[in-house]
Amino acid sequence: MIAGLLDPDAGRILLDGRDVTRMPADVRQAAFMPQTYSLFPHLTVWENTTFSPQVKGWSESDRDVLAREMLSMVHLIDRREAFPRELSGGMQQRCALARALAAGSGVLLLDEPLRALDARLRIELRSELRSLIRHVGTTAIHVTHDQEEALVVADRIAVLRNGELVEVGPAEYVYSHPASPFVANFLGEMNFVEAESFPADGGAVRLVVGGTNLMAPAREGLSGRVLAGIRAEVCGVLPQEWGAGQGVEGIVKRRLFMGRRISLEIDVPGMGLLKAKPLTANARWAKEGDAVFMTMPAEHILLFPVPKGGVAAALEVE
Amino acid sequence: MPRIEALDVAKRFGRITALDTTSLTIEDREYVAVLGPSGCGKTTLIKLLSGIWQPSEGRILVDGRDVTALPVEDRDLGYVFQNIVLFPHMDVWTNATYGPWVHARHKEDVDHVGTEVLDLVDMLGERGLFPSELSTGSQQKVALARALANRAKLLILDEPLSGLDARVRLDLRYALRRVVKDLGLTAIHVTHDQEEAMSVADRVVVMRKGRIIESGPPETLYDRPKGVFTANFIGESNFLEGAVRRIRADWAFVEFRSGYILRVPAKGLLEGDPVVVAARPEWIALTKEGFGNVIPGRVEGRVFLGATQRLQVRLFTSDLVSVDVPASQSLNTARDVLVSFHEANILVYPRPYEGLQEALKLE
Ligand SMILES: Nc1ncnc2c1ncn2[C@@H]1O[C@H](COP(=O)(O)OP(=O)(O)O)[C@@H](O)[C@H]1O
Ligand SMILES: [Mg+2]
Repeated sequence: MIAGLLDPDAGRILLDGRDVTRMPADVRQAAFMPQTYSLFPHLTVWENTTFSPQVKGWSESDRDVLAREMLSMVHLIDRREAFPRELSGGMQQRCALARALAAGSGVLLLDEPLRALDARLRIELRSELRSLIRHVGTTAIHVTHDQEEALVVADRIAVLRNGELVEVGPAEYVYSHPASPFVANFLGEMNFVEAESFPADGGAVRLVVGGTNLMAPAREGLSGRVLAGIRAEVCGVLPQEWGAGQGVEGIVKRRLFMGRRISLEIDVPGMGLLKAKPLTANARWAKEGDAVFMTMPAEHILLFPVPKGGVAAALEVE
Repeated sequence: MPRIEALDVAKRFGRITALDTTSLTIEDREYVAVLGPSGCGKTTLIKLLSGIWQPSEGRILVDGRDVTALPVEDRDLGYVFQNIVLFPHMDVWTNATYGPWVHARHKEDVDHVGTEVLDLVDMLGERGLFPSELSTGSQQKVALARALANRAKLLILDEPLSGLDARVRLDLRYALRRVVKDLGLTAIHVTHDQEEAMSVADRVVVMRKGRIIESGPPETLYDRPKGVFTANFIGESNFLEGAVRRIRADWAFVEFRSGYILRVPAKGLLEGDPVVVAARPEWIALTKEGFGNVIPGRVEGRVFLGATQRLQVRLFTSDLVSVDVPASQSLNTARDVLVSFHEANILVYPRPYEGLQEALKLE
């Protein structure tokens, strides 16, 4: 709808304060870069990039300057004579980006731009994309289902669920103040447990869950039975006999080495299977079957009302 | 039982070399991941190992027996592809028990096998559903159950999780590994996803441009990669180019641009060697101490990563490095920092003759 490819049933779209709701896509100042690159196969990299400026009637010298700048930026200037089929996936993606940028619009719309690429290449290109868009200084809307990609590329994140915008804010804010268990879980694996909460000193509450007491920051308007959530990546592990600070004891049921982090599932009596994703350097020793103390820093515990339909339903994507 | 050996195999299509001369041994009951960028020859390698393709050169042995000429249907293997291949008009049960091995059995045997494999992949409860009623993750579990139902001892998985959503992928990784280990199978799992390779396999074989470049257990590959490409491909790394200035006892002193120096273990280095020093973003830190293995720099950017934040620091050597620090660590307003490179947490490589950028290229 922002690009003008679909008409809204209700409401309006403004670009720079101007109502463009009824304006056709090709005259809007919004460049759409779809999931599949849709480069013109019979045009070279250079011709693909200069296509839109040419249609708009730019002079040849202006087009040259622009295309040169865009292609240098995406590191394709040396491949300007190549046809799309002669490029790797990552290069095609960069070319599509150069073309979208050269369309010279105020808004860049990116629909899962990295989806078709290898995992490692995605990691490289997402940082590149961020600096590129900063450099060009354009407004960008980037659609992705990958939460890490969203954190890395964006100034603000808007979380959609079932056609409804459930939260909008800077990455850090949405991460630390998720509006619902769904949003929390979407930005990184969460542990959820139901707990009884009791007021405590200093803006804190004491949670009682499965016979364990945990302190957590209070949340206004919430008392009694609550849903407590804690992110897997803020939970660490210590050998059980070293247990210190706030946490629970359990047995490691599964361990997956993931490089930077280790993903653990820990069976905690009275709470079930909990997930911890500590940095590898801090948890390398933990093996399946080990008795561990799982740390749960109080400041990272989030409280929510207990969802009416149950936790699983509250997290469901569809 | 199956121990697979590829001896100097290669596959060429006219002038195109899909797989250059390669040798690889896969031990019985080993779970091997074959990892590399798209187009590096992973699928070619497993097509040769499985007998779907004949190698242009070399031989394939299974348990010491030469099977190079044996057609794929006479080999004992199960196959799972990225594109899920289920029969849409058959329910889960029928799909899972469809294989030729199962067909030759009595009904009780079929019941037994079907129950066992669907239970293994946690799909017994969905036995009556049709593929269209299942999520893609569940469909892939059924495809796996069918591969297992053939009782093959060698399981070949070509990008089995690539079409699935991130969260589903995580769960299935573990399911795959558990099933392979529980049944004592040998598995070869092809993927372009470094994290997936590390979390499922006993050993990761890294490929690039039609060749195997190194292989090892996941933690060894992550901690001590033998080459710069692996250091960058399996998790990110920072690279600094320098040259060995002096060697004193066990230490080499590497000089970088603008004269900054780091001390590194001297093993295998000679004075004058051009080298690349590599360190992962989580291996280096900001420090207040002005001595030891530190290089000053200035913070140019910051990316929020959840529990950690990644700082982009422009070192005074003019290299840009990423440093992961806890999200809670606040930075003083002066953006000048000291980056500390602990000797135990840096890797040193000879400078690649083709140039660092070329050696790291992902495609
Ligand atoms: N039938 C074929 N004819 C010609 N080239 C091929 C054929 N199959 C694969 N190739 C080439 O061989 C290389 C390796 O392909 P493949 O093994 O499929 O890579 P991967 O599975 O790692 O993505 C690629 O460059 C591909 O284009
Ligand atoms: Mg392939």
